[in-house]
Amino acid sequence: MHLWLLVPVAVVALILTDLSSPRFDLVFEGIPAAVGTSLLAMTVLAVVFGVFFATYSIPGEMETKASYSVVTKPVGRWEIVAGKTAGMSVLVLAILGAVGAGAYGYILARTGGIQSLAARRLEEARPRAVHPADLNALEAAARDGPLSTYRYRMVDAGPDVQIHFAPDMPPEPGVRWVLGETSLLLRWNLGETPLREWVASGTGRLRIALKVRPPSETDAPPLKVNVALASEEPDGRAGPKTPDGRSPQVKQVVAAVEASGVVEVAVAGPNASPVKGVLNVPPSGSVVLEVGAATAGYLVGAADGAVRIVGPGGQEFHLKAGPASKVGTDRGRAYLVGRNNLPRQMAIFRFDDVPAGALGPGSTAVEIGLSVDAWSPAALQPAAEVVFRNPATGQEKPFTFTPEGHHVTLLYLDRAFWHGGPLEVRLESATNDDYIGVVPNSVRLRLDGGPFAIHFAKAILCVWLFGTVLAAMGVLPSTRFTWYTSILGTGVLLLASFMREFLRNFLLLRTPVGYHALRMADWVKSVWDWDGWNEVARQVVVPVPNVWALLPDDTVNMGQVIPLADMAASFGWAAFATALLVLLGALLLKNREVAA
Amino acid sequence: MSGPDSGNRPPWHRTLLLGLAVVVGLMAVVHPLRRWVVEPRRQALLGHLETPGRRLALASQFGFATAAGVSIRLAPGRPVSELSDLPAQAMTLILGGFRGPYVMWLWVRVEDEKHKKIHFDLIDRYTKIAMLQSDYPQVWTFLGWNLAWNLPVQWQSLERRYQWIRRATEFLGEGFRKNPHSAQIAAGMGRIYSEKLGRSQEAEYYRRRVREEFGRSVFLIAYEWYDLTRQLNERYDSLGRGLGKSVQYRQACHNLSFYARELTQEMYDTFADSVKARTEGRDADARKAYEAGVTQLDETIKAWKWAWRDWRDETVRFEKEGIMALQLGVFRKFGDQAADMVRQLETLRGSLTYDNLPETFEKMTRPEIQ
Repeated sequence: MHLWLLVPVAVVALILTDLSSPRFDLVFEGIPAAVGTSLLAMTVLAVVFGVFFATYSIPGEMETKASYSVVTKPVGRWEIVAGKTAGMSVLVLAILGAVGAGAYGYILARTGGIQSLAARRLEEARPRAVHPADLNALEAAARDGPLSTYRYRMVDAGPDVQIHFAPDMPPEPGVRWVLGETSLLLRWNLGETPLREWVASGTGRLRIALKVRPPSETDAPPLKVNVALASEEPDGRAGPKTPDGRSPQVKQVVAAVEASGVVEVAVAGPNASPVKGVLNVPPSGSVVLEVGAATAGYLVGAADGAVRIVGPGGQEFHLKAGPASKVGTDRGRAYLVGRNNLPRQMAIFRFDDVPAGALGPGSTAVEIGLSVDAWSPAALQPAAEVVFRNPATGQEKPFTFTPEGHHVTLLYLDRAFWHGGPLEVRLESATNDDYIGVVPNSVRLRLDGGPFAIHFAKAILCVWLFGTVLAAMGVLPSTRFTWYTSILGTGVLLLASFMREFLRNFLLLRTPVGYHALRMADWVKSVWDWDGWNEVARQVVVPVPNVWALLPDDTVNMGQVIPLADMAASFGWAAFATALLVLLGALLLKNREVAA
Repeated sequence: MSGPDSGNRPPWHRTLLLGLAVVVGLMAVVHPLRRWVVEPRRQALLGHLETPGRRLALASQFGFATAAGVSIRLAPGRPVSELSDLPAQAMTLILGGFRGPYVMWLWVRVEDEKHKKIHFDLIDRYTKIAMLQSDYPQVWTFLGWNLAWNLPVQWQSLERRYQWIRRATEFLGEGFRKNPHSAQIAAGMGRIYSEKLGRSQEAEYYRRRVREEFGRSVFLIAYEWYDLTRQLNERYDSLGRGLGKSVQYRQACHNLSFYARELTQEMYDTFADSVKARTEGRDADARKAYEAGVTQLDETIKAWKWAWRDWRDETVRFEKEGIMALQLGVFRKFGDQAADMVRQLETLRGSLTYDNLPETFEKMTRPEIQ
């Protein structure tokens, strides 16, 4: 068979598919699309080989009686099966290599067009760009071309949410500050104090001496603060919730602040009925006092010894410890509240020591991906500010950019400013009423991932591993069954692997099989308490390995390189699976009368 | 007729008779089929006839619900196909019976990715879906709705949002090219121009960009699409299900009112410039702005008259059709408003001079678009 004919057909198909696929943004999506299409074409070829040719090989030889001349030689049955699989694997590699070379040539040919398109787009977009930094990624595409690869370096510390003070605000050592209408809180642990015993017999008081700095706006309303008593488990977690999901342990009042900065709040025992304006001590856990400023623009601070507890009989306890500060989070996100003027919140991220050799010769960028809650008018363009600081030289580089929720912003660092070593990133939301959610891992370094050819070759190798396992899967049933049965069996197995999760959920939730599997898992769990039994039951109802996981994912199309450790793991998994399938195939072939 | 086997063959006249019988028999079957099934269907596809034959043909091809007119399937009229549609049609043919499962997979994928906010490949997949189901108007309008409403809001930058909405109009434009008789697609397009580009929260930016790009008011473009909607629906009854006929028809009138209102705003701003220049002592600038304002006032009066005529025509149309009084009241109310504006502006035109502009301007208010 002229299998080489598949190569030009596949290359032509991928070129036609790629050219006829419209994109929203050709500059940034053109090359990923071409890479994705070529990997798809290769995957189709791997499936064709694994399902059609691998299953046909042994039955075909038996039909033409070519197998007589092989099995009568002094070779083991496992050698026949292994030879078939290895031969098919080499064939797949050769075909994928040839298609890959054609695809690489096509991608190289496209690059020039995309680079000049980026340059044209840059000229068009420049007058309309709200902030020059918004064009950073387009500038990089026009400068370096679209064939960039990257890998990530995560932050070593952060986000550490602090306050960015205006330059005219004198520092006060020992004072911890929070900003009004943000999620920052001052926090004291009252667990070691006699509060709980004192208020058991009557209502006591908490007297908190705060430092207040009013905002620069003249029409600012008077300051109010939120004061709360929360319970906390010894390990720092919030106390248990009631069955309906509320947290009854958090008692909160809004209190006005006196001119002297003192706030006084009445506190009752845990069993006292709640009264308006009075805090009830949580019934269990450690007691934590939290104070937050409820009026926008105010800075509220506290130093050591700011809290006094006054008992019902007038007895007094002076807490010597100073406050800690706490950032409000929701679903793992720290929130930065936007303000046009200083002071405002900032999140600080730190990279400890990035070796200069890790940067590679390409561009280095900082990738910022945020979620944005925009409460400002829709016609207003939101702005975020980021300042890169090189602690080694003390240099700073500020950028203002449009924060895009759910999409990353790339800001490029030039080598003259930073070429490895420590780096500090300070992020702020600069639009009134806009909330930036700092998602975990939202700020990371995007380092050069090496030459595109190596990256592309790695992706092709992944497809080859997939093809090899598939070939072994195809050869296995063909050692025992006819071609038609084998092709059907392999196809069904491949489909089952693709729909693994769907089949599992269906079987577990909708059928007696799943019911009994889960019942069995429960029973085993009662004997041996281990959380993984349910997962074992899930695996048992559809015991099909995920062959498709060997294929590269969408991030590879975008240029994110596959780490060598992942490649090694894929190789190991594929080798193990192939060896197992070959052994099974040899066993099946051994029990068959081949040359009868 | 000689040879060794000639004795076994039937005589020549019997063969002739048999041949004739076959031809007559075939004609007896084929002619009724052509007369009552094929030809009516061909005519119906050309947009001329609605016959039992067409119903039967549709029922045999697409099911009884479609034939009864319940399904959204098939815009009337023959879909337009050009040379550029050849690859799409070839792909549809090659896929054969797999077209359905493939489109289903694409639908699941695009909706899933939309919720996960993955927009890579989205345009490509939308195009593929539309290519494979190009004669469903609702496919075009649904995906166009996604492109114009659900995707732009994923971005904060107004320029980026505008680009998504423009993709939506290009997409629907392609849909309209393929289904030139579909009032539903035309209404979808009008809706994007009117509601998204003309009246959304960030519309001020969009209106400016549309004017830069098209050189016309966004409301005029919206009016043209809605006017086309009326004409197409009158001829082909292709509005489909969704908003009622009177609601869709009056969108054209509304957009003329919005256009007139936009002109009124511009006129107000020009007079404001004139008053400001006069207060600052720049008399030449003030006079120039006044003259420009008067020209705009004339244009505004024309626009309001146009809107009023359109409201009146539609009122007459729906009075004849006997729609609900409540609905008719809407037409009368907005028609009266337009007429009132015409009267006010004509009075203003009659009394306005350069000298009394400051006092007159104090009594004027800047109308809002909404």
